[in-house]
Amino acid sequence: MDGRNGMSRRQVIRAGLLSVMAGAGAAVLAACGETQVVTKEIIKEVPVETVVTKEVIKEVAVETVVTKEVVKEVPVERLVKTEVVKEVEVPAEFGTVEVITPWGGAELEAFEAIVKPWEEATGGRVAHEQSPDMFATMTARTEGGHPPDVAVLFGIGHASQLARDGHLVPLETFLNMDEFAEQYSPAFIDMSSVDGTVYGVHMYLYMRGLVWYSPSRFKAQGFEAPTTWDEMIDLSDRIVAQGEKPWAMGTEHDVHSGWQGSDFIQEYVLADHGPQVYDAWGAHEIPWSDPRIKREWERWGEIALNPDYVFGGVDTILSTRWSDAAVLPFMDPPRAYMHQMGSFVFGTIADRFPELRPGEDFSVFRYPTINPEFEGASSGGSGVMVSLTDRPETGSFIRYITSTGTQQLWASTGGFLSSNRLIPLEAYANPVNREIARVFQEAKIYRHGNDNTWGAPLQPKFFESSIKYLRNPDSLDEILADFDRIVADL
Amino acid sequence: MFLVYPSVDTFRRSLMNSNSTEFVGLESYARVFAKEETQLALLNSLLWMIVFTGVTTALGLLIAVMIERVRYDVIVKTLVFLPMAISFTAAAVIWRFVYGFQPTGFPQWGAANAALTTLGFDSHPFLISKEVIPFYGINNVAVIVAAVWMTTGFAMMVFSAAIRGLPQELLEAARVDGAKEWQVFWHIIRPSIMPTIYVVATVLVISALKVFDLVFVMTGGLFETDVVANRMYKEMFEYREFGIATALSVILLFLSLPVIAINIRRFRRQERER
Repeated sequence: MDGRNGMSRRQVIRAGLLSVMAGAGAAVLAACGETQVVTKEIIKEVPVETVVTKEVIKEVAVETVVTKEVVKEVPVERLVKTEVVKEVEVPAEFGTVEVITPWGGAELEAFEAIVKPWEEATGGRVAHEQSPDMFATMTARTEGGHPPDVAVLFGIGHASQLARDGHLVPLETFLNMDEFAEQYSPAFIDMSSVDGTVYGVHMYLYMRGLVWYSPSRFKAQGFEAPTTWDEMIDLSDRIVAQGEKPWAMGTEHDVHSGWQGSDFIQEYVLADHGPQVYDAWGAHEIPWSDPRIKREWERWGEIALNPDYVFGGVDTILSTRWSDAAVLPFMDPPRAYMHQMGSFVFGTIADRFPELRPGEDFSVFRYPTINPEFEGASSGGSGVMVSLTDRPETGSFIRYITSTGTQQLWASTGGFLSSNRLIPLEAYANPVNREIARVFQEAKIYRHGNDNTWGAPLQPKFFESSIKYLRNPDSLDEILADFDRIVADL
Repeated sequence: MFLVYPSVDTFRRSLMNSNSTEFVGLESYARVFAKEETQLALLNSLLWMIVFTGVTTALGLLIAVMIERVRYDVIVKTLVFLPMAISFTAAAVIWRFVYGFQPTGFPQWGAANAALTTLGFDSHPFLISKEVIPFYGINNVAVIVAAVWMTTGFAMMVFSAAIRGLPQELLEAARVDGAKEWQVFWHIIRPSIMPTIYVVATVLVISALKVFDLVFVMTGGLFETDVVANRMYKEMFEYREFGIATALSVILLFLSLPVIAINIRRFRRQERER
């Protein structure tokens, strides 16, 4: 049949294209000067290149433009070879890859820009669905027998739960795991593995222990970014003495309301008691009612429950959306001076105040050292990208999205902190992102959020309980005892 | 088939553990009544059942009776009925804006607090307010108000139709005999439309029991405003406690059974009388 013939040719072209793309997207070409040379080589590598028409070559030119962001380190030929082998199975018509993520706004825009080159090169399409409630969506989709192709889960706990229930496809189905190990550090690979099988890639890594502030306002007032807890309290008191509020805080976020408290308390446990206590707590070897854990809840309370310290007091904290709280220090006049929040809030601030210069009008400092013994301890978290189907489209998408080239392109969009270790600081779009990446790379002690590992039911319980604590601080002992009961039932 | 199978399966799962792999008997039910969160949800649903049903029925009846005697009744009816056309989720979003809170002294974007501060009062965080009206937080009432706003139109329409259906001679006769308007209402209208009141109350009780969207969007069930349906969702999808979630839904079913039974009995009696 005629049509069939046409199809198969298109298929061949696609295969060629893809492999080119793979070289580009999947990880990268060479520095800009060498790009041309490498591209030619790739074309030769493809076995079916004889059929390739002019059109393809044109397309290749487009590809080189798209992947301007390139790194040298990875040997190109090897990448191409592995890709060619895999791409032979590409079907004639590349279908739609359904992706569910919690991303919206700036994060989603960046994601859409990132997948565009893949869509253009493969003819596939990414159907993105934003879920405000990943736990619920994934439970409904997997239990209902209609899993999406790819999902970005709320944390590694959620991922390993789904992996144990047999819903996830191991990454080795799609990826060359040796290369993967070069791109991503063992600590991160471990975190997204279950029993030695890797199931996920950390996307949108975020750092938790950051304080957002306005360097220009600090300068005008003669404030300095504090480096220790005592300095921070001194600064807070100084701001209070001026009749202003040092802190902005907001916990409202639909069903996830309260995650801020969970973030902060974990950060404090790590910074005050170090990684051993932190890990033991995470592994349920230290109970929640332990005085060390309780102390860090109270530490959060020292700031949040002090009506002089926080803009509007507890009522305002509870009724302010987290993203609205983030912009308070940058309003005119400022409602507060500091805002403790993860790196992911960058886009919110930048979007709301396009006139602010990153690095000068808004920036971050690392959360002050609480215990000098554990100086430089930082915790963070990530969305974990996993695949739930083994369709070739899914594979191609996962290969593309995890590649160093794509990750670097993503980093240049701002707000995205990549877990790919081949990406240099210079790749980040602006001084603020570079500073965040620096804090991450220089962290002497790094831990992923424990709540990320726990998943349900402890993670949502932590969120809910942090709200309860703010409303009723006296119930702290009951709250912690309740956690111990849940842990005992696990 | 579509009703029985899920019901039976839900009941089966309510006797299993949190991921439905092991039989644990009535343990989930015990946990529902022992856990603070689920206790609270049950109590709040009770409040909804009483306050929401009572206020909506009374208000709907009041408006229906009052507009019977005025010329611009169509306009009033339309206005009261209009919120019915909005989905619960959209209504919840609207009311969240109404209750929006900023500290006193800063620009208020919530209508309720804008009104308060314009009048010189302090702004009030309605949705998270800690003030307690005997036992329940006042924020429960704030959410119920939104539900009443949405549903009064329905009650009013049904009552209005029922009153229209009454024989005019009866009312005229009473008035001629010198009955005051409230006497006409209490002794003639009320008894005559009693079956309608029962039906409306039943529908409202059931919608109070299954209220979800409003609570989910307005407070997410936080700040002690949780109700059974929202808790069920949370236990099922957030906490992945299938046992507790299904046990809750079975309890919910049993709670609505008496209401339905009473209704069926009344209905049968009416049929017999006819």
